[in-house]
Amino acid sequence: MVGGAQIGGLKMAEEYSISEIMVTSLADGIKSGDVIFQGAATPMPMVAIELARATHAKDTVYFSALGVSPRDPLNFEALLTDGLTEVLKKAKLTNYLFGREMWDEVNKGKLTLEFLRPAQIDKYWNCNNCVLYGEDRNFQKPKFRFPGGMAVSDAINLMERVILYTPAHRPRTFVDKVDFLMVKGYPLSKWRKENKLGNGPIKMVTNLCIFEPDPETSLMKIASIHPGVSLNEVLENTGFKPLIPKNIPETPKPTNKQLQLLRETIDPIGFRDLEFPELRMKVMARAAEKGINF
Amino acid sequence: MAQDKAISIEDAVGLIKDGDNVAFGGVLMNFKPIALMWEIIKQEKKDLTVTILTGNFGLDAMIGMGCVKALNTIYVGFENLGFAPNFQQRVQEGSLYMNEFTEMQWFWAMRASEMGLPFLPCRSGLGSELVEVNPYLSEFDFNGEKLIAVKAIEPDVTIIHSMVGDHSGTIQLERAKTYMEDTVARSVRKGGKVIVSVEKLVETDYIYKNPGNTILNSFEVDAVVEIPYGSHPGSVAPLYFNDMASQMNLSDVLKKEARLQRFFEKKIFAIKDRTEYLEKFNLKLGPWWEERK
Repeated sequence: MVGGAQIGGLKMAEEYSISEIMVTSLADGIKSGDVIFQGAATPMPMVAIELARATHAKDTVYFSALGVSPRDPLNFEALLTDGLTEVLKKAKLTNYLFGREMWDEVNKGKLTLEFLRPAQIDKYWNCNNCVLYGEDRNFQKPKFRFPGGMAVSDAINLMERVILYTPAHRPRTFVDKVDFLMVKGYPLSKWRKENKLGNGPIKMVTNLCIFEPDPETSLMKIASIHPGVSLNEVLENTGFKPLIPKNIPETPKPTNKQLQLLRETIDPIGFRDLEFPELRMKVMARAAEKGINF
Repeated sequence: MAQDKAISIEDAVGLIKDGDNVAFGGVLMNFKPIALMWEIIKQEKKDLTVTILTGNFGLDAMIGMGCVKALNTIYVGFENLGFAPNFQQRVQEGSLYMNEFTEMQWFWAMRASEMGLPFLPCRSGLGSELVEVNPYLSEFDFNGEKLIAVKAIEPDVTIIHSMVGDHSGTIQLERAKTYMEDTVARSVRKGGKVIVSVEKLVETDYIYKNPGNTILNSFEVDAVVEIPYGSHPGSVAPLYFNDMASQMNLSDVLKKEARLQRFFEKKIFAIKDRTEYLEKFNLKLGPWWEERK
């Protein structure tokens, strides 16, 4: 939307923003019939789910940490702003606080998709949201302590599909080997089949490109690069050398219909930009104009 | 007449001993027994192992005020309001021990205890280094299939917040259900104590009207404490919702040890009873509280 502005190393095209091409790329991964579990405080996937439900995947159940909505938009405005439970005031839910029993359904494969944002990921899609180590590699006295893995490991282990994303493609996120192996990646591998696990992460959408796993080796492979981004930029911001196909496709741009839905109906305030720290204040100001306070 | 389990907040928290493993119900800022956490801080409990699905302001304050030695948890932070500073600092300096679980593993550890079993098996955590750093987890083989055994967490004391309770200890929820508060309460070790704070203490005649609302039976509960707005500044949805102004103030207060001490001395310990607390934070007891007797 802001022509020529530079965010996260990517020059934005005139007609759409980085968050918009990320949202449409995430939405592309949703199939009609998916039962999507989505945790709190993940604005881009929340918007992507509603976009998919308004376009190609109408028959999709959206299952948040606190409620289930098989049909009506879940109102991520409520989920993100006044506190999670505000969703009860504003959204049409068919279930509320479906916590403990959910994990039984995860075990049986009834939940098909979740979007997750890892703090650290390596070339085999191993993820770490726990700790960064100092030289002594002591879990009980780490150099940096993240809040914790929550259900990230459960989803990456057990759900049919997981789609990862990060709005900050940089070497400290994409590392050769994770400090702490919170959850083993190895998507589509024999190891997963032998242990009756899900497919694992099948896509990673960043502000620069999209990665997918190589089906033979599970290694991270460039699937497409966003318009206006060079291969060199991707490689400079990745802490290992990903597999590179001979002909690298360009990520499809958002369609006019998608952009119109996002800007006018689904997310007029622009919550999709909340995950870019440099845009956070702008979103908050736009929200405040409409009487929504953080 | 059945034993009267309705006791004061001071006596309820008095059931906790230094060094106990104490489990708390609630998820994120919903149904957290915050008032009981503040009383734990007031009574200067020490060396607690806290078992909690997700820790927020209440837990970070308990850590900052020196009550906590170890954690069984999956997350400690303030969601959109950022990292939990006391948790982060103490783990990084090696003075707070962290048993990290995946969400399923945490539920399994509590459900195993609730069921009176030594462990429950799951696939979550296969291939992870969590098994190496969390003594509750181990890998085992079942007919050639690899599984993770999650050992039961058996807390000495379990604490939840709910809506309604009577003097005999029957506990109910209305227009809501538990995320896992009943599991947390029931996970208590044999001989341990179950403490429940409720928005409103009622006569058993009120319980008779909707027995289907019951989440805990009287024989499963040791102490009931009436604390209106017992989860404030969190929520008891759909009865009341988050007080974001107070939460943002807390997230700021928690960053500096001196400010945290002052906040508790001036804003919490100085308050003489719940009526004064409700006045200070401008919380109104509407028809919901008045109609239940």
